[in-house]
Amino acid sequence: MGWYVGKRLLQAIPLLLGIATVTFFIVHLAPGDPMDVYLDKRYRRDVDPQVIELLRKKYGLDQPLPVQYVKWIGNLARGDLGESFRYRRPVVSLLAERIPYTLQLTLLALLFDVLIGITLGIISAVKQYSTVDKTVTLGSLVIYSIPGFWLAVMLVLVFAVNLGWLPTSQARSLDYELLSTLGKILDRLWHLVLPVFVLGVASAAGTARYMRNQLLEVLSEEYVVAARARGLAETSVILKHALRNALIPIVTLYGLALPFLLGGAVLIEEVFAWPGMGLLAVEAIGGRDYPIILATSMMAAVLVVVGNLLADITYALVDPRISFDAKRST
Amino acid sequence: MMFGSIDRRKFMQLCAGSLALAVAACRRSKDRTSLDNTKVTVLYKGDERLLGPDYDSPPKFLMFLPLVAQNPQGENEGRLAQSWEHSEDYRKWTFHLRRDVRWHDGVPVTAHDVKFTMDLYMHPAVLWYRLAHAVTVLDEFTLTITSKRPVANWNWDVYYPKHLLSKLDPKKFYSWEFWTHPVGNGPYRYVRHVPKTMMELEANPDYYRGKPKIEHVVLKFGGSNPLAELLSGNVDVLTDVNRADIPKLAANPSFRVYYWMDYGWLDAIYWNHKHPLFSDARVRRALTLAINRRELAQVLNLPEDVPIFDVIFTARQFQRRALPDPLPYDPERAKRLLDEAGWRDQDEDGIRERAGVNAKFTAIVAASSVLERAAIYVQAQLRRVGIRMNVQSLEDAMVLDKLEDWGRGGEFDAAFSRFYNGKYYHVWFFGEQSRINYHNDKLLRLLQAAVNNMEPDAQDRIYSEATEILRDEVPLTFLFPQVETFVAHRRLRGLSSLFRADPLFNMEYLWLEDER
Repeated sequence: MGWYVGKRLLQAIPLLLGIATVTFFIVHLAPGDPMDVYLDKRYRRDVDPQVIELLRKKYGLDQPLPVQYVKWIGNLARGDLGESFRYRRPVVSLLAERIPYTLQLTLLALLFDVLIGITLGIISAVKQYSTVDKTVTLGSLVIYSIPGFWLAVMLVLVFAVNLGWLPTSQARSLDYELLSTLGKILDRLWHLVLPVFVLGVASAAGTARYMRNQLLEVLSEEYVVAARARGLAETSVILKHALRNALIPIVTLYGLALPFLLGGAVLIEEVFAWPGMGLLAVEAIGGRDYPIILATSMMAAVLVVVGNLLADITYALVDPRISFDAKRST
Repeated sequence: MMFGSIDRRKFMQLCAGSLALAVAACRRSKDRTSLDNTKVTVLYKGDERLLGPDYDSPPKFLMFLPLVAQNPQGENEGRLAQSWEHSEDYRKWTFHLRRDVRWHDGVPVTAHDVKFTMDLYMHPAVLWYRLAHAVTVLDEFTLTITSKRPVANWNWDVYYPKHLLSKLDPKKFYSWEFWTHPVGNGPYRYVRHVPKTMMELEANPDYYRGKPKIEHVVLKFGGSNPLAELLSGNVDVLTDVNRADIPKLAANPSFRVYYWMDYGWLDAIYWNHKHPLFSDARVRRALTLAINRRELAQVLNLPEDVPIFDVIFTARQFQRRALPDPLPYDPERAKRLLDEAGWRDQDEDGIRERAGVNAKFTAIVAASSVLERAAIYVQAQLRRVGIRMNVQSLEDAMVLDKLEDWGRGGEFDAAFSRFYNGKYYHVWFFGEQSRINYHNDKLLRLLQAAVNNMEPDAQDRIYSEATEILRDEVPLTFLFPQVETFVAHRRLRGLSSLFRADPLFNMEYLWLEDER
């Protein structure tokens, strides 16, 4: 397996380099000079031109684009993501502040997706054509069709503004520092309820539909009929025999779930003022903060590559018909 | 594999556990502020570095003092400085500092702190966008500042404690921990912060103008969903309120709406004079007459008394409302002027034409902005006088790029954008390389004279003279000054439009009324 992972990681290098190159040039070709956007072109007439020139020099913006590109790639290879134009701080330290928040959100949303989506899919398949199945199917379709931002705003309106049960925004309460350790944990969870729900519910709805179909297909297989004929309990038939096989294609879905959730998190972070990487990226795009745009884009690209790799590894682990040796021979 | 070991009981336990955790996590909000009579919570975009150099924003005045501040009459009023004088050309200023202002750790504020800060701003590793100055300390409480350009006021920069910062590395200026728990010299001092969540300040009992009446100010970070924060009682104050929300909030008896007008930024329609339609002053005047700007103000939820003008002006002229009457809304006169200029609808298709050229153009505007709504309104108004305007919505940076970039000028017919009402910008904008391709030597000479003469009376005179030219030639159509709106819970008292509208600038003057 180590050989396979190593090979895949090596293959990822040119892919990431390609993504980095395309992203760099697209970002730089977009209209708007970062200094102009930050200062506002009109206001900058009041700023000492020497200061602006020094700033441009400091950030290498006075260099031709190919030179900037070569420098950026060189720095990227060394793990130096540069300094934010907006915050004037190393991008690495800005990301280090933000990534934990985004990971909390996305990983919990993924967990929600797995637990709720798969559970509802199983129930729906087992109780096919029952009221439960019809409710889950209809509910999944409705939820899948609702735009995330609208759902977020509506839930805030109901649960935060009208009922006052949940917070409107942010990751912590204003009195967080005054809480006990348990209080702090509960406070963090309390703030996670709405954003995690909104981020995870649409994926869970999709997963439930997919899971239902997969399980129904597997349940009609001969080995499941044989298991039932042997007198095994229905729970055992479903959970031990049918579910494992039905999960195989689901695993591949989750390979791409993390970058997908990261994309969704951008919107959710904006609505809930969640101080994650997505919010930082949105601000950076508006402000032409190239180092942050490039760093967050590369993070997303790496997540896609890693997600795919994890999906392949898990696929092989779940499905005994697939082995890394077989992959090696190909 | 994973599910193979789960039986029904374990599965139910797992579900029950998740539910219990979710219920336990649901508790009533503790952020609700409306009953706390010692504290004001303000929603503000930013994080715990809000008072540092990352943000050049109003909250810094809660903790730090400028040399001077502007009073409601637009006059300089001392803060750190007790008195001051300046050279005739306004390049050299001498400040005599107050002797009773102390940093929050008890150390007196001296001229050395001001020099230290100004030198820091200009440090090659810092480069904090300030004009180059030479600062000389004459004694502990007196200093002179000499600038490359004339400076009219010193009300925006604040100063930092030399005794706490002089040993820190300027190369790490923007990363200093000081910015997350700053020691200031203003009406409020730092108490605590929760990362990415809030910063709490308390009234400074040693503040030289007396301890502020409001004991605690909490800056809640965020702002994506401000209305929800206000209506749920989590915050007392919203700054820079979305215009679409104003009618709802104004009708809510729990809140009061205040506004402030920034004469430094004016919404305007830029006409590119290279376009056949806009090369004629009569047409530009007709287009201005065809727009009902008073009604447009209502459409945009602007205050009823928002001024309408056709000229540029000084701060003092604005504060005294010494602005000439604007062109009225008069579509009939607009039609006559267009006829006179040769633009007539001869084929009766609803669009005027001249020499086979239709009177139509495209106006660029920032997408999802207030000006986009203005553009749609103007489009309908111009159609009534036979002018077809297409609206092209672009990203804000693209509008700015098309409008202002030296290398790509002229890439627009008309544009809805903000006009910076600053002297240096006026010279640039109406200068030889004017982006709207407008040239008037007399106007340019006047504006250049204004740059070199900082005396308020002389400036008013110069701008009054420029007014005549601008009213005659209408090089662009001005709409409104930028209006900032603030909403505060009714228990917060002492605010008023225009000059006491911003709670962050004026917190030391405010008080809370007990509603329990």
